[in-house]
Amino acid sequence: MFRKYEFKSETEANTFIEALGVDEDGNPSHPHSIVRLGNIVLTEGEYDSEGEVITEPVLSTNYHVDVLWSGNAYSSWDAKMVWCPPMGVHTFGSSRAIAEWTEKCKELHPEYFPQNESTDI
Amino acid sequence: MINDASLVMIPSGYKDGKLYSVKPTDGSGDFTFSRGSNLAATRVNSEGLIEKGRENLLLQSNTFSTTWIKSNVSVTSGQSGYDGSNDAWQLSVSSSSYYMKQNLVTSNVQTFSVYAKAGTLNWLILGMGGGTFTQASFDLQNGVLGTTTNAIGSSVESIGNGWYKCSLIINKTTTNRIIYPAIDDGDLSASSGYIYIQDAQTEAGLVATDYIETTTTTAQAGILEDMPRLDYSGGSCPSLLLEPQRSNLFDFSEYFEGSYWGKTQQGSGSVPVVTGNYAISPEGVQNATRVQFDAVGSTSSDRSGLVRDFAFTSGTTYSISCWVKATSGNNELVQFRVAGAQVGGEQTATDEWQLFTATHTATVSTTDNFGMQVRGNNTTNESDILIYGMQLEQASYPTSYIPTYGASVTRSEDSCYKTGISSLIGQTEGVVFVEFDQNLIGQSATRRIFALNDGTTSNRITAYISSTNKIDFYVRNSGGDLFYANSTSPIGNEKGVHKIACAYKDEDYAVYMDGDLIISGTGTAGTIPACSRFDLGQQIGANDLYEPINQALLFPTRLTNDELASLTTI
Repeated sequence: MFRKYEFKSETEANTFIEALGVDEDGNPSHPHSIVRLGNIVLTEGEYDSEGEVITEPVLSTNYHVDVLWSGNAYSSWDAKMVWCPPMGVHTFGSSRAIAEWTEKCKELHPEYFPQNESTDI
Repeated sequence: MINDASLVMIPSGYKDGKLYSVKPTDGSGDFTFSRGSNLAATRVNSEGLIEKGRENLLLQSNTFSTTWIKSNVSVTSGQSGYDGSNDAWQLSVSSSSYYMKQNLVTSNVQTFSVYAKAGTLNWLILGMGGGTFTQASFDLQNGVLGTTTNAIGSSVESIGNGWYKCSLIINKTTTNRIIYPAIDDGDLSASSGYIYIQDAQTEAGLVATDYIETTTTTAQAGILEDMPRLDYSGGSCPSLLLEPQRSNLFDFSEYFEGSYWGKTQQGSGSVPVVTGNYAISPEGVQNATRVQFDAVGSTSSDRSGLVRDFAFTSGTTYSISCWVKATSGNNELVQFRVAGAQVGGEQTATDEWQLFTATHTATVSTTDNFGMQVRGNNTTNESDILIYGMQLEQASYPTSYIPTYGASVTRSEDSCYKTGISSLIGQTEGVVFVEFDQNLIGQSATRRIFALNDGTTSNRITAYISSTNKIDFYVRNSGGDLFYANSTSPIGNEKGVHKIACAYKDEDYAVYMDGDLIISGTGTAGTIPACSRFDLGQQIGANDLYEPINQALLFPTRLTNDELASLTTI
């Protein structure tokens, strides 16, 4: 199961992630896939033809983490769960996970899915 | 000697979630394999082509009598198809304001394709709602494209017998897929008439790939979520790919025409000319992009680039990779840019596809560009190349290709193990043999080549490459260590195949690698740990080797040192 989370800081995210377990060598001992997106770009920057910044990108002040849970998402993380229009800035390359996330997102946030089902040419 | 083995795994047979062993033949030695990624996983297949995980997102893809919503059209099955079957459908117009559609919300780069043939009407229009309407017209009598609007592009390919494979390629969020018979280019004024259609498909990417039939659910093909990847990069004998979790940080790895990729120039340089779907890619389909760089001038300040800006911090290491080929057959040059720096030197593109890679650690913290560039002071200041599969990983080495079509994508870690095989593992003595292909040099982590265990780390027999690049052999039972030693010399910094055999028996241990004895000793007297699980390239899901495995054997007896030398000789 794929879910997106937002934390107030990297420190807070680390607390949640480390609570999932680490082994004697400090490696994750849990079966879940964790991707730290960090302070994601909310508004793209603008650049000139030489690649120089015209307008700096706007970054989120919160720290974002995507998790591909092995099984169901941990309920202890639920308060940090967030939803966005599909698929946001990152996804896991799993058909099953993407389909389940999309279905749930549509159920909870139909506003993220265009209602225009036009057949007009 | 191999006849004496109790388990023989030579990568050959597999299915989703399973890697078959050659011996035993009853399936009791087959490995469990997991990854949980299909759309992010690729391999080089036996034809030498990059193979992806694919998915047809449409339901009832060739059963147009159900699920598809119809307005003033009807469908009749049993028509002669493009593939010699009678699986085609007649799509007939009964009055004006007609369509046949399936509601499907997708985003990013997608291709919608249908096989079609002229009937009494000669045109097909494919459409997609959601925001600005997207459409493409196809002339089914002459096999040419009509008008395409609000799309990346469209294509029509003759299949024979009047059939055409018609495709519409988009990069946007859409809400449906619509099929219209038509009188002319963009003309839906028909009130009667028909065309033939067959096999509709919507998939991620810039090109319509081989058709995947669906019914009440979507269907996948190619690399599946838990399918072992037997990779033929090294030639005719495949290796088992065991890779870590990785993300391609580039949102678009194949679509370079859009605004995501900056086309930049500096000094007297020109912005590069980018042409999508220009040539056959290493995937074997028409989705390689042509890029024509021209720095114009002769100084390092004259530049032509295809780049994407990211914020990065000093000390972070990135690996960039991309398949590149010269467009004309003449050698062409290009350089990577990583974290705003020119890295990897000039790379020479030839008339063969090559995977170019470069790794760089950022030395400052700022926002700057990643991608490709040609400068005025390069050996030549122009370059005309084909590119495919640009990938950026935050890591010290690149891994296999992860396709992206509008968002960064993560491929989860490969895992291969077998439980419940105490009958195949020598309980009082034995040998574990593994042949692996060393690609990674100078890794700081300890990396398990194999681990026999009971599901815990209390009872285990394991060999690993240490942080000092030596081989360590470790045997312990719940009472403590029985044997622990490492090779006196590092295994070397050359990439290539290694064969290792680890023999264990009470107070009689030895490790041979590539024909040489590298570890031996008596250790402490005690009971060899009872093991029932065999982890390949890891230890109970951790401490991964991350190297391709060519074969693995278990022997239930301790072979002689001469036999170990013979077994491991390259």
